[in-house]
Amino acid sequence: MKSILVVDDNKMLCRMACDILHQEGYRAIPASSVEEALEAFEQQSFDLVVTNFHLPGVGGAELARAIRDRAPGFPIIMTGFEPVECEHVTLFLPRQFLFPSLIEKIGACLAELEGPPLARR
Amino acid sequence: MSLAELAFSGPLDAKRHGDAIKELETVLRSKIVSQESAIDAVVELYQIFLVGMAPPDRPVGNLLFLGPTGSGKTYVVEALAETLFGNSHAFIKVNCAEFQEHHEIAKLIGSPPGYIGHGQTRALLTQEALNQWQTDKLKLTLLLFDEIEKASDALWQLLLGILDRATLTLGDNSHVDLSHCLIFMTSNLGAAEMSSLAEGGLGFAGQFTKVNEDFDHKITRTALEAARKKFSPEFMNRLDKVVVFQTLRPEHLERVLELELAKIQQRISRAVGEQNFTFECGPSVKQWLLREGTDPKYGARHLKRVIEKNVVYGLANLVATSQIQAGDRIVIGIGADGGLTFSKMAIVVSESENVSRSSP
Repeated sequence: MKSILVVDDNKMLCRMACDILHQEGYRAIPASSVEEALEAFEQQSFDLVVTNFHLPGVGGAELARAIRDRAPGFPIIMTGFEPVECEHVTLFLPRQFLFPSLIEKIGACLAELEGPPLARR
Repeated sequence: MSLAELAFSGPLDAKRHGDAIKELETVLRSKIVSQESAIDAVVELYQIFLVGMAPPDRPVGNLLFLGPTGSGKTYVVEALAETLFGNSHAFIKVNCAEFQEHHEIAKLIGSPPGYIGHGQTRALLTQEALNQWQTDKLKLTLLLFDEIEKASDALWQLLLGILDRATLTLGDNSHVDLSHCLIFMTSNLGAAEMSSLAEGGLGFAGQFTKVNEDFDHKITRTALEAARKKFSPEFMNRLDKVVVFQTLRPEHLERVLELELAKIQQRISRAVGEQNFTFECGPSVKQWLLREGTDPKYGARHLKRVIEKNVVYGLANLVATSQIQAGDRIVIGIGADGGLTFSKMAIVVSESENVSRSSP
């Protein structure tokens, strides 16, 4: 089962997103701050991170950089109201149309990581 | 006491259930729509298990569930797990489609000595895994083999041994006892024939007017014939019961819809806790969901998908944009474009009385 870390200071969304991802067959862990997210990232194994751009403190872009420092190229999906430039994320999703895009993009990112069957051998 | 002293005190009811069984039956009937035979089979085996009359050295029961996609075969196991253990995931699922190649059996029982992966491959069916959901009061494990028609020959051999003797030898030569397992097997065998029956009998997809008892008999016959053709007699002889799931009719889907909407509210409450909000759907929205979610080929699964995409995702997008807050009451309606709309019911206090009004 693939694991996803969902980081959002909107706790209601964070938990709803985890519930939806759980229904889709993922293990989803919520975190509501950068510190909480980094602690979870270091203690558990994840396949992908979904984070809000706007987070209290250093923000989502800094969280993405910190994660990529620890795991270069790690898949990160960032959400926000306005598109943002951030070199440390895989892709950006507007929050206005988060679902079902998030589900589709997570599936695509994870499939790309696994690669075609021949490449896996 | 002599024979002369014995007096006839009336017939006994062999079908009478104890309180625990009655409770299980009631809960299952409230969760599962239409599939009475499946509930009866499960309740009967559970009753035998509870009174300690399950045959020794055999699983508690071996059930084969046949039927169209989306008729609730896996859902029955989930509902039973939720009822018995308080968790709909409290069972072990072996997806037989993942064991189509001979060597893949190692994922299930671990690699034998001398083979790559021995001591490293973690077997799925260990004693520890089987016992993980058992409690002091209930030493029972629910084990589901999904889509067994896709299993490799190696898995078939393994399955035959399990069904007959309730034992399994792992790659490291340790033995696993499955005598406390209630084993479910599901199969979509005959799905193509059932699908053509559905299309032929219905005329147009989405209309269920000809789905009646005769149609159900045809589905049952088709499924059983397909099973007898595919599965060996030695397998069929090891089954306690074969249940053919019935195609869900419009009135069943209406009940499924109500159950699913209630479940979504529970999911929201559980997920967001004290930040809970509520939602409600009027009759026109329910009709809309039923219309969009009715597909004879996919049964309740399609309806659940439509509810998830339109109701859950819609609510989540409103939460993402902070349009829904804790304590809100959301009313879902139909817009001018024929799509779903979401409005917030706000409580406003007038001078004389409390008045409810909606704000889109």
